[in-house]
Amino acid sequence: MTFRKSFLCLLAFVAVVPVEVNAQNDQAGATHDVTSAVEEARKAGVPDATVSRLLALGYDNGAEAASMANLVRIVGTVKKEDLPLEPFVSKIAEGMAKRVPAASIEQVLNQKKQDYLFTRSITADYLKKYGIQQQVTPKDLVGIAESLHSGLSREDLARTIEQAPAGSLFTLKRVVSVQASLKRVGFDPKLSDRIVSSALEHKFFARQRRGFVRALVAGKRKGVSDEKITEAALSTMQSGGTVAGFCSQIGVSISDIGL
Amino acid sequence: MEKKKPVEPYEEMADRIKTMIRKMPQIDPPAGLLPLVMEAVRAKSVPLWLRAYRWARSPRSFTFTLLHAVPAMALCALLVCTVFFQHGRENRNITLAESREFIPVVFALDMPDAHSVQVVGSFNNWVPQPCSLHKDSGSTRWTLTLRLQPGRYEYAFLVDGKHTPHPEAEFYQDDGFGNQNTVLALGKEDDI
Repeated sequence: MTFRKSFLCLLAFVAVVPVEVNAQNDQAGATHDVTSAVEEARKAGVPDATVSRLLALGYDNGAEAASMANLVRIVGTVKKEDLPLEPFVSKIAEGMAKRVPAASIEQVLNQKKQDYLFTRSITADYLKKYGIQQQVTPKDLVGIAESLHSGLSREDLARTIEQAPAGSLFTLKRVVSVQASLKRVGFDPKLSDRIVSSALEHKFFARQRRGFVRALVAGKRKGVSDEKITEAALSTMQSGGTVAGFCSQIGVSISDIGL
Repeated sequence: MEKKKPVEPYEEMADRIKTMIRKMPQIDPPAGLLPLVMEAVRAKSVPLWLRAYRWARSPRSFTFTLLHAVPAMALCALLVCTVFFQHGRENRNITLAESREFIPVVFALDMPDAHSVQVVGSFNNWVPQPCSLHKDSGSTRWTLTLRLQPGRYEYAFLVDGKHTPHPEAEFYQDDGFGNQNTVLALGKEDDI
């Protein structure tokens, strides 16, 4: 989107911000605040399209100018930290659509930013530890960092990455996703560690093994015991079996896992 | 008194004219006369648009019988029905992003008592329009097919306006606002 469109959005937003009649000075201050926040964000490198999207969101949801300024400013700081913008902008859209107070959205965004910085730091340490010449792409970072909202604590994530053998970030992302998913459904942590170790050893997180993790979770949801799932998973992996074979062992159909 | 001029007899006049014609010099027509004449008498070519315009402006009449009109009306009715049907199908198969690569995703939910079901997520800015699920008569299952780009998405259903994560999904995530979203990973790279 062009600068002109951003500017028009800004004008539209400023024109309709809710104000009290006796608070014209506040309005002027808030308007100035949005303008300066937008300028800061653009200087930080936030694309015009993103700025326009944010302002349009504020306009559509009747956000107050002061709150909007804060949200735009946070997105600017995210860009300054060179973190991917999309999860943050999407979270703002989600919060506004769900009528969450702006202060709560700001709180969630700040927490998310800290989670992403933490994840990037430990992921960089992992790459450094094994001398892996690979950049942490936004996609990898999102995949790993969002596990902190899917069931893993920071300690869990750090431990999982610490224990993970050398591999690509794709594999690391899979490991983290599996641990998060299994923890979320209440799978025994020791048994999930065994499954993950064996899966890494037998390359069962490869793309050809599509649906393996879904099958694990589907089995747990169907009430199959952790021990039986683990036993079936380990034997399947050791014998070089298929996901379909694993499913049949634990009584899960292929359609249950969307394959 | 005016002297009356004698009238020349017709035969004498004709003879005199014949004699004059015979005495006329033999002159050939100029070389460019024929093309000039042909050019003058040739019909001018009219542009297609002008011909079409004239044709369209010309009044016409046609006759028909009821026997002729019935198949034509049936054809019109068929066309109208086809357009409505296609429109309905498009509503159930919505493309939310402009891209060359799309993956059709069927959102399905068994909710027999619900009056309305919509899906909101990061693919539609969490705005339910135009993502309403449809239920066929006699069925308890609400469905909607969306065509999405590969990637990672979070979503939830709005069942009669109430936020509801997908009960049949395997992957969930806290939204930070006190609810759970379902996580959807599309594409080979994001298989989880």
